[in-house]
Amino acid sequence: MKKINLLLILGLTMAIQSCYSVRISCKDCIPEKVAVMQGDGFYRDKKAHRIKVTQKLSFINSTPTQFAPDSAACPNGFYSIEYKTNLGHVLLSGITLGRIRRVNVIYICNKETN
Amino acid sequence: MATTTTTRINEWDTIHQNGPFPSQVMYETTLAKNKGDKIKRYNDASVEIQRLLDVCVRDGVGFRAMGSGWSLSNIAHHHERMHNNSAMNIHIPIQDKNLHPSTSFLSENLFMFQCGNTIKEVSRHLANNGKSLKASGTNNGQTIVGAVSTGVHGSAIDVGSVQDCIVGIHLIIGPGPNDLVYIERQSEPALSDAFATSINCRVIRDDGLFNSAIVGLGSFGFVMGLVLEAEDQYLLKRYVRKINKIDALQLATSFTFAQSNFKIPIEVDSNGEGKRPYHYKLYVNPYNENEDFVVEIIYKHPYDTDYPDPRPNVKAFLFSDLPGLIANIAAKYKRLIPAIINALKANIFPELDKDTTGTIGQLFSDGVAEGKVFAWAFGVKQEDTVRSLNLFNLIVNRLGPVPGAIGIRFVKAARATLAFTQFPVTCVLEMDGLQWQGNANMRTMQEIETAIIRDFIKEGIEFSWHWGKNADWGYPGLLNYMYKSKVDTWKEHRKQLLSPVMQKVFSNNFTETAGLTDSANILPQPVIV
Repeated sequence: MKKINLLLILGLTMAIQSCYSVRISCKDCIPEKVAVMQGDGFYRDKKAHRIKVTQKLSFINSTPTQFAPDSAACPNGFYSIEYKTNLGHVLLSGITLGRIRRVNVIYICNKETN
Repeated sequence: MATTTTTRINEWDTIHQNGPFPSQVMYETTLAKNKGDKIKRYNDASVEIQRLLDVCVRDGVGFRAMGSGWSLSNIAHHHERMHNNSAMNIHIPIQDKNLHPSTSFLSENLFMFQCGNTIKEVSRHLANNGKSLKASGTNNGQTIVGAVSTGVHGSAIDVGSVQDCIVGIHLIIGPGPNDLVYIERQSEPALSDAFATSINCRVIRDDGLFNSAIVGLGSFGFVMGLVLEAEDQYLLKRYVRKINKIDALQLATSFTFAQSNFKIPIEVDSNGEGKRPYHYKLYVNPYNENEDFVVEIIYKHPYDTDYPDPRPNVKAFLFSDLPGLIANIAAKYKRLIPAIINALKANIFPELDKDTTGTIGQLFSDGVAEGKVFAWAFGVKQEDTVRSLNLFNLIVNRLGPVPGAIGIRFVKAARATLAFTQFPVTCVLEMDGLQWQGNANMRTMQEIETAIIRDFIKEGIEFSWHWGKNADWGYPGLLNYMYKSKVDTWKEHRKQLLSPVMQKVFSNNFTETAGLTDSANILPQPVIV
């Protein structure tokens, strides 16, 4: 019983540790906003774009290069980019020996200057 | 050409989640894509707004432009049609040739901003030109028009509110060819008639009308653009210290910084006397009367590039770190509120002894609003600071405790007819915190708002409530108590400017509740097409 509890705690700890997000934002930039606000916090008033990015790497090229969306998506540049991983993403990467990497990306474009 | 998308919506809410409020349509106008001639694109957007107004008049519905939705009431809301002008953010440089022949303004200090520019965009553009706003609110997310129209203030004791730097207003007051107006003070003309003509406006120079329209609460027409006077860029040095209550309140009521026991050692003159600061703000924990106050004091200095970016250290007084859960617990077990506020002082008040230097745009920078937030703020005379604070404290302790803390700021009088900063020096008492629902153990937020108004009137303390904050706006006789004959002046100017039809179009539930507009009694008038 004690072993099961220990494993459970270990598993939960790993699951929590594997779920994380990193957000980078431009302090001098102005985000695109929405008029009808939803949710809470940082994204409430901002026009957020959410995409799932999956990188499949070959044995020759093992460097992921395109985790960010194409710059055409934000013609005035990015206000912020956040990537999130969860336990499933970590397990997928582990099972495939790091050949498949998946993250969720949320990005906000800069408002056009006129 | 400028284009508008129309989205059917069921409801709209503020950024601080003070609604939701039912609504039908959200218009969103984007500028013509052809970059180049700014005046041409600006005028093109005016045509588009007039088209929308024409549609609203024909459909017999109201129309209200929202800014960034930062006000904590339904002041920016309309139950029929709303307009998002965030993308309308042209800024037009003012040249010598654009100046009025009798003006005393320098062209280098004048800038025209279209309605959708946020305070952050304005500050950034001014900084790129070596200039700065004269005053700012605590944050920078409001649009310039939203901030001006509701009287957003900082705590600049010798400057005034954001609207005090505005010298010209471009209003669209209807769909007709004569409905584009550019208004200035007669006593302080800024731009030439030729400039007004270039944006297809007729000119009105009238001090009274200007003063009423500047804090127009969205009810004087669609504010297409504002001309503001900036000043040379400067730096602000911010200090946060503990100060004993006696010294804090002595300074608050007298501004005797030279004679005060409280001094920042390097902010003294050659005689060793304390300098007069740019900004003076007190933070008060209402649940520990023996506790000293926290003071935020800011001094103005000439601009210099040699300073570290202050923004990582600047933390807004927004309760952004408190989860909504705390409000729920507080509402259920109200005796915990003082303990929670005491325990979370470090999160609520700015960090002590951390000195910061930056431009106004950097110090009053991005804030993240999280959770359902309320804010009360009202101005009293400087000489009434102590008794007003005592009464306010008494109310929030007797009827609360309220899950929030008190701030006290000081602002020079504004000239706008309905500026809530109307006293020679207005002491702004404010309380920000998390919304709560009342229950058997605790009064509702609305009940306490009513009690504050009732008790201040009962005590004969003159006050005026911040237009962008939570309040019992329908309290009988409130407006006349706060502004006396100024309310009639404001209404009269509005009637002079707007046709009866457009008075209805530019009214909303907020103005009706407050008694500023009375759509039911406006006589109908045939629409000229």
